[in-house]
Amino acid sequence: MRIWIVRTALRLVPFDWRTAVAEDLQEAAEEANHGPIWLAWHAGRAGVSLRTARFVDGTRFDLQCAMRSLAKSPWFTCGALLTFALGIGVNVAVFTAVDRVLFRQLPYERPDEIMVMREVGGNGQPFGTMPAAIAAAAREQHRGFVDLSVAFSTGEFSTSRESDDIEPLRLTQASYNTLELFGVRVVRGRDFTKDDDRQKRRVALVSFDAWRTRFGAAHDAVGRQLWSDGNAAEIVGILPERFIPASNFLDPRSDGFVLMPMDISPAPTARLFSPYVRLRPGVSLEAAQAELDVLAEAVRRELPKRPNAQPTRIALAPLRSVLFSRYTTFLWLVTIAAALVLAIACANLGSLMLVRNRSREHLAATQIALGASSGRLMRAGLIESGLLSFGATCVALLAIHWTNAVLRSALPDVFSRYAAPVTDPRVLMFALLTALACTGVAGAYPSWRIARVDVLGLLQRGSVSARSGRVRGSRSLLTVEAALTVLLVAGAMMTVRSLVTLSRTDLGFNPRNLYNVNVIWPPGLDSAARFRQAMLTAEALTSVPGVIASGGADINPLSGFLPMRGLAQDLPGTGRWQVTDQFFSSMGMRMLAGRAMSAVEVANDAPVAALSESGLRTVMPGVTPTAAIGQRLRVAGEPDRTVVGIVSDVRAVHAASSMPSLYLPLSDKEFRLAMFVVRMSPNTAPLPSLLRAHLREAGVAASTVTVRGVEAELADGLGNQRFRAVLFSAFGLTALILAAVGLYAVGAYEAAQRRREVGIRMAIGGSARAVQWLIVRQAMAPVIVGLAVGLAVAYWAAKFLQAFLHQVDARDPAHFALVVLVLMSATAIAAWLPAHQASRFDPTTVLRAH
Amino acid sequence: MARDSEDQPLLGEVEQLVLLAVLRLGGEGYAVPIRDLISAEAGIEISRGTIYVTLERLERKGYVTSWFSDPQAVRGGKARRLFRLKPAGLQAVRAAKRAVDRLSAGTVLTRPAKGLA
Repeated sequence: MRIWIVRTALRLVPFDWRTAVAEDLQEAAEEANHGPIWLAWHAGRAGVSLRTARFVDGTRFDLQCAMRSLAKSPWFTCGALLTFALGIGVNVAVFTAVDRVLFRQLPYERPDEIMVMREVGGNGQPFGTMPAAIAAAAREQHRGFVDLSVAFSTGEFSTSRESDDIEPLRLTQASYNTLELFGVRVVRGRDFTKDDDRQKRRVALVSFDAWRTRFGAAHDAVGRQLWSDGNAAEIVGILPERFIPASNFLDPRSDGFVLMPMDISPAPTARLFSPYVRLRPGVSLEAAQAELDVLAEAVRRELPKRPNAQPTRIALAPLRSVLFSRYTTFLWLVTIAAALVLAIACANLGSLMLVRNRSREHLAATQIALGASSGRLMRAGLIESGLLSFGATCVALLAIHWTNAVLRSALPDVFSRYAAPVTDPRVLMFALLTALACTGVAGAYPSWRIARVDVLGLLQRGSVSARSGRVRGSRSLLTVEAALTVLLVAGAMMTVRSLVTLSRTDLGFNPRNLYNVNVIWPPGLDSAARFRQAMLTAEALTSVPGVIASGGADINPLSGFLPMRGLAQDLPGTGRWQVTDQFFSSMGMRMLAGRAMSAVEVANDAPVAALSESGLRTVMPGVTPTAAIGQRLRVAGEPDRTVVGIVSDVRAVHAASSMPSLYLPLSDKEFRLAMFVVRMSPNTAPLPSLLRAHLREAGVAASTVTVRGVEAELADGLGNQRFRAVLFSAFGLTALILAAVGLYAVGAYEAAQRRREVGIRMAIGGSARAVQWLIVRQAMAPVIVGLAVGLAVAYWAAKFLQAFLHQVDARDPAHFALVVLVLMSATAIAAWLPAHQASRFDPTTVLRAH
Repeated sequence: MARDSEDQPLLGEVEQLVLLAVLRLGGEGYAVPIRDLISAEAGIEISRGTIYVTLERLERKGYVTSWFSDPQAVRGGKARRLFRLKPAGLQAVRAAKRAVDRLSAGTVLTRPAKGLA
C-alpha cells in the first residue's frame, strides 16, 4: 500500500523511525481495514510529534549547555550583557519616546479623516489664521466636510482664586464641537455643548493625567473651578487617558481644553485660527482640496483686495503632519542614530562570539566527528546569542524602569509627555522583537562559522594553539563597527559645536529681565477703541512698580508670529512692524545710527521709519547706517517716509535667522492687536495679578493678561539644542566604548594566541616596542578601513543633520579630522593594551611552554 | 534507607506506563502492542506519536534498548523496532512504584474507605 501520499507523510518521520513507524501503522491499518489516507494522517502526526519532541528536548539541552557555558565565563558574559544592554536599552528608551509621535495612530476616531485648513503663503509657510469668511463658507457649503472646529492657543489656569499656581494648568482654547469632531468621549462628566457656546460659559475639559496628578483623581473634580485672570472656568469633564489635546501645533504641555466661543464672523477683514475639519468617509484629500479651492476662490472674489498682500491659498493638511511636523525629522534622526548604536552592539557581540568560538572549535570538531549535524551546532550557537540578547533586554528594561523618573525629567516636553511606560505592551513587544532580531544578527555568522569548522584539520593537529591567531570574520565586524562609530561620533561633534555656536549668537536685544506681556481686550471693540486701549496699556505698564521701560508692537517679533506684511510685496521673508516709541529701548536693541521714533511721531503717525541692519541692506544696498539717516524711503502702499534710525537685527530665538525689518509708528489704521514687552529691574517679575490691577486703574478693560519671561523661553529653546547635543554625544560615546571594547577583546584574544610567535620574535632579537607596533598595526587595520568607509558615508549623511545645525557646516573638514583623531586615539589605546601585555611575557617561559 | 530515585530523574506518568508495558511484553514489545496493552489494561488511550516520543526519550535516558527484528515472513515484510527494558529501566520502575506505595501506605488507597463520602 505504498502510494505517494503515504510516502510523503512518512518523510515527516525522522529517518531512524521511518521503517518502524511504517510497519506499525501498516499492521494497525490492516487489522482495522483502514485506507491510505488514514495511514498518511497517522504517519504525519507521528512524524510531527517526534520532530517536535526532538526539537524541544534538543533546545532545552542546548539552553542548559549555553547557561553552563556562560556561567563558566563570567567576564565574557558580563561584558557581553552590559554592552548589549546598552545598545538595546538606548533603542527601547528611544522607542518609548517616539512611538506615539512617529508610529502610533492618533488617539482619535478615524484620525486620517481629520484635516487642518490653513492659509499658506507663496513660500509654503502656513499662517496661524485664515480669512473667517472662507471658513464660514466651507462649513456651510463644502460637501466633503462633516464639521469644522477650532482649537488654538494655550492659556494658564490656577486651581485656586487667591494665588497663581507654581505650575499652572495649561488649557488649549477650543470650540464646543472639537471633541465631537475628533470622535472622542469624555471619561467623566460631559463634553462641551452648543448651549455652552451660545451662553458663552467658561467651561473646561481636563486631561486624564492632570486629573490624576493635580486633583488626585478626585470624584468631585468635575464641577471644580479653575482660575485665570480672576475669571473662573468650571471643569465639566475629564478627557480619556492618552488623549492628545491638539492645537494648530503640538503643545506637549497642554492639560486639556477650555471653551472658546465659535465666532466665525463673515466680516471681510475677520480672521479665524486655522480650523480642523473632518472629511466625510470616502472623501479623498485631493477631492476635498479641489472643492475647497473653488469655494475659496469664489469667496475671495467678494473680499476686498489688500494692498501688498502676499498671494496665498487655502490648503488642507492631515492633522498628524501638522501636529508633529516640527519633530518628525529630528525624531527619525534619533531613531536612526539609536539603530546605529544597536548595529554596533550587534557587531560587537558578533566579534566577541567569534573570538570565543575560536577557543571552542576543537570541541565543535569532535562533536561533528561524533555525528552532530551542523544545524544542531548552529542552533546551539544561536541559543547562546539568544540567551545574551534576552538577558541584555531584561537588564535594559529594568534599567529604564528604575531610571524612568530621571530620564523623563531630562527629556524635552515632547519626549517626556508622550513617552510610553516601559510596561506598555507595544514597548515590550518592541523589546522582544529587538532581542529576536539581535539574536539573529549577532549570532548567525559566528554560529555558521562554528558549524563549518575544518573537522579533519583540527582533529589532525589536535590543538588550537598551533593555529594562526587571526579570527576570520571578526575583523570585518570591527570594520563595520568602526564605520558606524564614525557616523555617530561625527553627529555628536556637529551637534555639540552647533550648541556652542548657538549659545554665542548675538540676539540683537537684551533678554535679561525682559518679559512678553499679552493683553486681550474684551470682544466687540472697534479698531479705534482697540488702539486707544493699546496706547493706554503701554502707558499703564510703565507705571507698574519695577518696570524700567515698556513698549508695544502690532506683532511682537519675539512672539514667533509672522508679520502681516513684508517690506514690500515682492520681498518674502521680510517684515513690517508697527511699534511704540519705547519699543526699541524696552527691548534693549542697539541703535546703530539715528534715533528711535518719538512719542509725538507715534501719536501723529508721522511719516518716519526705522530699519533693521539687514532691512537697510535690503532696501538701500551699499548705504551705511549713518548715511541712511534722513533719506526718503518709498514704501509700497504707504506715504514716503524719512529714515530716522537704524537698529540691530533681532532674532526671536537663538536658532532663528534675522528678518530684514522696517519699523513704523504704531498706527490706528487697520489696527487689530498689540503685544507688549516690559523690562523689569533686576530680581523683580511682573506678576499677572499686579499688571491686571494697574491696567484696571488706568481704565484698560483687559480680559486676559499673560506674561512670559523672554530669558526663560530662550533657555527653553536652547534646552532643545542642548538635549540634541547631549543625546548625540551619548550615542557617540556609547559607540566609541563599544568599538573600543570590541577591538580590545579581539586584540586580547589574538595576542594570547600569538604568544609563541611573540616569544620567537623576541628570542631572535625583536624589541618589545617592535612587537607592540606589529600587533597594534595589524589590529588597527580593520579600524582604518572602517574609518575610511565611515567618513565617506558620514560626508554623504551630513546633509540630513544640516537642518538641525546652527551656523555650522556639517561637511566642515575640521569635524572629520577631529572624528579621525578621537576614534584613532580610543581604538589605538584599545589595541595597544593587549599588545603591551603580550610583549611583557618572558620569551623563554613562553617557548618552553610550547 | 537510601531513596532509589536519588540519583536518577523522576519518571513521567506516560513513561511509567510505557516502561511497564515494555516490561510485560518482554522482548516482543513494539509500538502497536505497547499502545494496545496500555489501552486494554490501564484503560488509557495514548496517541501513537506520544508512544514513539516516549520510547525515544526512554532509550535516550538508557531505560530501554531497541533493535530491529528480522524481516517478517511475508511478501515485502519489513523489520519491526522492538524494545526491551534495561536494568536501569527496571530500577526506575521499581523506584517509582515504591514511591507510590510508600506515599499511599495507610491512606484510603490501601485500606477500605470508611466514612468517606
